[in-house]
Amino acid sequence: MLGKLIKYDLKALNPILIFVHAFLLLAALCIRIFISGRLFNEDSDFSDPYTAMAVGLLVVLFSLAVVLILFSTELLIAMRFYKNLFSGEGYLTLTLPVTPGQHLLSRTISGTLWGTLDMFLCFFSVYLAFATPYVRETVGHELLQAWEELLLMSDSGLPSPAAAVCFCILFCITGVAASVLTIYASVTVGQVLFGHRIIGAIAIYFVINTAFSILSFIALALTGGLNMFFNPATFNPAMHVINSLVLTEWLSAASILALYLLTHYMMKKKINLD
Amino acid sequence: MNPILECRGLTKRYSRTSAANALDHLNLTLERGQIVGLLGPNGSGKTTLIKLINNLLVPTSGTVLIDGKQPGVKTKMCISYLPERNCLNPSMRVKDMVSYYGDFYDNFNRQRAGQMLDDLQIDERSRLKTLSKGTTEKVQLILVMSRDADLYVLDEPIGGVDPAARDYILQTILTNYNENATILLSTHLIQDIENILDRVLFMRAGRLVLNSSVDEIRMEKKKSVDMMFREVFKC
Repeated sequence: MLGKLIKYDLKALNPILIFVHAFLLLAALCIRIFISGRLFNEDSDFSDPYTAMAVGLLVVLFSLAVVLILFSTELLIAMRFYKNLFSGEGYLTLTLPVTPGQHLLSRTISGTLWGTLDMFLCFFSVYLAFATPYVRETVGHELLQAWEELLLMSDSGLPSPAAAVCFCILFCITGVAASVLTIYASVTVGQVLFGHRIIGAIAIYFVINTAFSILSFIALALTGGLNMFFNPATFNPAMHVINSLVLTEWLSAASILALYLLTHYMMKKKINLD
Repeated sequence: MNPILECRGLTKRYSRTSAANALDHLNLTLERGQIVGLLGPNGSGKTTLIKLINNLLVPTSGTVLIDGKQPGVKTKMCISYLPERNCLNPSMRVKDMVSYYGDFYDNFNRQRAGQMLDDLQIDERSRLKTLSKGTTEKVQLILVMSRDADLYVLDEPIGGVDPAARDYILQTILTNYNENATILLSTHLIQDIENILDRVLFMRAGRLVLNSSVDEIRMEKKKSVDMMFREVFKC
């Protein structure tokens, strides 16, 4: 049953999300062919104010488009969850012979899948739009230099590049899952506020995010992550960043667990359709 | 064999501040193989009872048992539920909805659904959002009645359709349920359905005020169900 639920959830999400992301990639390709491909090369003079302005404007507009796509993906995932479970469709969905746990798990999987795909497609579109051979060479060189400097600064050694990439992927996926579950928890708790369900869900979304921000701040402070009075002789910035990222990863995992349990409880005990 | 539906002291209160219970210590037992009319004025608790049967609400106290089991995955397999409002995804095609029911319900009869759709000349390739309200309701009813369920719970199945369509819907209900199944049917249109009912339940303020067979009402009280309803719920 879980597989069937995921299948129908993806079937509902796919058409519009594929369209939106295909549009983003197409826009990135057009920018690469018609604008950045001509601007970002060895002959470009970035000290020329017109060139600098054009580049700035392009970067800002494309960043806005990427943010809009990221936001619209989250919005579509939220709308699908609300409509399928808490509007009229809920009368069918919630009377299917499946458990609330299966409903929640299937939606967490499909939402995280699309959220992760969305993030990678957005990264890829930025790469596609701006990574001309000239940019790849200059930025790539600078990144390599920065990595070498980090290695030099680090006494205990940094993880291997492969391990760093794996950690980054895991970091993205858990971040997306936490974000998806924040949406689901908000919608599920919000539906209790009969007559003000959407406003309630939005308010609860901000409450959850604020609560987790405060908890993260406290956790970082308690573990020394916010220590501003470090000894320059012993301070290791690379390890400091890694430790903070690992801590954030643990906090994400904890928030996933807490939000999942909260949403599951609400779906099992507090469902009340219109 | 367990009764198909059993309620023991079933109570539902929506909030602590509510003036009254939506359902108030309801005791009810329904046997198999009958068509039961669930009747009562607005706010009498009919929909609350239906939601509790379908596990769409959790009771405040008391129990509801379907075939001896508490509402859950197993009871959802044996209940076929037609809600009062449209529950189908409007962006899906009729054939997708047929596949959806077929995928999730083992007791769904695709052939029967196809036959009924053909009878009504409903194109399976149509998207639900392109169909009229009445046709959408017919599709919904066809999907519900194409299951070989033990208990059919139909909430206002003829509420939003014209009289001609009502006849078809009632005919569909009568011809598509087996003798051992029970139909619990909630409606305000008593005159239209009273000829098909075996039993009626009258509800008021979350309580059962009458649980009687239609024959008893007709033979002993010499009244129609409609007359009886008007008498009981006289304003």
